[in-house]
Amino acid sequence: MNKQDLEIGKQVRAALDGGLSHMQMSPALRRRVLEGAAQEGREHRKLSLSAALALALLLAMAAIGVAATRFGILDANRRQKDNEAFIEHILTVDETYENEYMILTVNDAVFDGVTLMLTMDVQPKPGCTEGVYVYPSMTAVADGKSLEVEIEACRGDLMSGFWVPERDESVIWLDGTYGADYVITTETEDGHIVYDPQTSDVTWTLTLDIVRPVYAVRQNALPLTEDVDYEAYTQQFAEAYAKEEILLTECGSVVDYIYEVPYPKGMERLDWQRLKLTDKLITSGAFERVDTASVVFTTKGTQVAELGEGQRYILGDYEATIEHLTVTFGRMDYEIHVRKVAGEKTAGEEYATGELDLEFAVLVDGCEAERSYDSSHPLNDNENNPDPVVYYRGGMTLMGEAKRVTFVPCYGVAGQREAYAIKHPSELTPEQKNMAFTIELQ
Amino acid sequence: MEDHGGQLGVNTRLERMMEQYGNDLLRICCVYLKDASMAEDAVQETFIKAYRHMASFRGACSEKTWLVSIAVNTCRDMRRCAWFRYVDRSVDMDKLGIIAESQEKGSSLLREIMALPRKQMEVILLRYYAEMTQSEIAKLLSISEAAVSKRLARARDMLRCVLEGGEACE
Repeated sequence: MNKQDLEIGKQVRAALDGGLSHMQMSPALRRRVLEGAAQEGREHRKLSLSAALALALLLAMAAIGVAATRFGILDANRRQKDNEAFIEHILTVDETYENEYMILTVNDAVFDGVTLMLTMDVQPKPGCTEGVYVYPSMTAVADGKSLEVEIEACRGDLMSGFWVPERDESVIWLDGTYGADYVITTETEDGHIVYDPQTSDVTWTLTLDIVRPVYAVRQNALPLTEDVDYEAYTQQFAEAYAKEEILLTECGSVVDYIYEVPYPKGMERLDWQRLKLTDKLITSGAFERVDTASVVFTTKGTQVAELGEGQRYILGDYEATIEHLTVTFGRMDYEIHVRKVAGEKTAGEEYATGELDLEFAVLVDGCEAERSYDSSHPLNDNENNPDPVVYYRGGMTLMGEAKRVTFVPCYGVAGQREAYAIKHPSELTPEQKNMAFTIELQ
Repeated sequence: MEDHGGQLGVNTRLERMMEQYGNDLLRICCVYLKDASMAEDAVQETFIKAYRHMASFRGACSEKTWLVSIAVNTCRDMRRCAWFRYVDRSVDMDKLGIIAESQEKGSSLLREIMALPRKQMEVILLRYYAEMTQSEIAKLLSISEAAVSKRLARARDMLRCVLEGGEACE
């Protein structure tokens, strides 16, 4: 840490340790932990009997109605447990893939028009110590057209792949419960990537590329920290490959390793870069293919309401225009454009210099809602001149049927706090109410 | 006490971890969840998960970083449950029993940290209290290091008044 960080660290530590000095590991809490650990020990010993007996136990539990663990959508999205529309759209996939190394079950899927939420269970085969590397990829088709699918969030590394059994210590506590949020996107004429809501049935294909190491595996790559030379960091992977070793980062990732592997003679660099990760791993000789498998499922079409487009609101010297506002049963996404209508500078110029310090509080009426993302920026042209318009984009997770949304402009540092602190339109001051604008969603 | 390995060794290690990191984890969870009793539940679950996976922990990251990662993910899971559908950031300090003299700078800073939006609060806790590197934070939160930098800069800006002048920002 630099000097400033050290000073801030001291202050933060003093604040928490001082203000929360009464928060201590009490004897009662320690006892609860040790009792919980003892219970874990008993369970572990019970299940470490032969695999046949363990299976018999699971079957017996199922027979008397005690469900075996299954990581479902509502386990990953507990806040949606009262959202009837969300529950109605849950698709039980329950497709299992199995080979000599692992068992993977795709449990549930929900598509809210923009996001596909998926849950799965992944376990190594009992007694299997040899690891395999799994690289999942997702494609989607609607109305005969291929859609652009990107992964937005994941539980476990479904973006660049994961080992079974898991090598990443930061996720081994997941106990094989994996999940991902995939989103449908499209590119606009001016090159922006935006969400692309779908109302039709969508057919999804999840493909698993499974490979196993041929070279010896080491997992002690020098980490990339502030003190480490970047060239030295990358060189270690190239050296490992030259010695016919696979060198993983501390979290078990192969990405930095395969990036430093020289591309084959006769292959263009661009063709090599375009290869799927597992194809690169196999082409390099460090890995060999175990299997490729796919599971296909279809989610039903859903309503996507597009509202308020083009509506304009005056905010003092500025004008806010609703570029788009889409609402489904599980989410709301918006884009607002802010322009300057008085004065010499544009909104973009003011944003760049910090003179325009504006955020929006977003208040949903009719159901619980939680802000999922937001961003604001002017779009600079090729010569880095700020665009006159400042774009405000954001999204809310909806836990029911939303009736209306109110946008409240909040200014300055204090305003940024307000933007997140205000919960309901009833909390607005008269001044805020004057500036706020509301859009009916039904 | 010696670590004998095996079950006794694991229990000894668990007790040592509670002794060494328990208070820090409780405070992190308390700021995260804004609820003292839920923080205790989160810490209990954290240590039990750590116990479950202790045999496979190879020390690639520090023990503290490992435990903080489990704790933060546990808090995130708890926040997703029905109790946290409606996140109330108007923190009732009395409910938390925060020890604060009204003039104390530390108490102002703590209040401001707890009032931060979640994204900024997380990175402040992880960087300055848990002392994790930006790379570790990026990995834990599944975001880029650039995003971590940006969130930290914004958080420092939002806390500037309290960090420099000792007064809560108006």
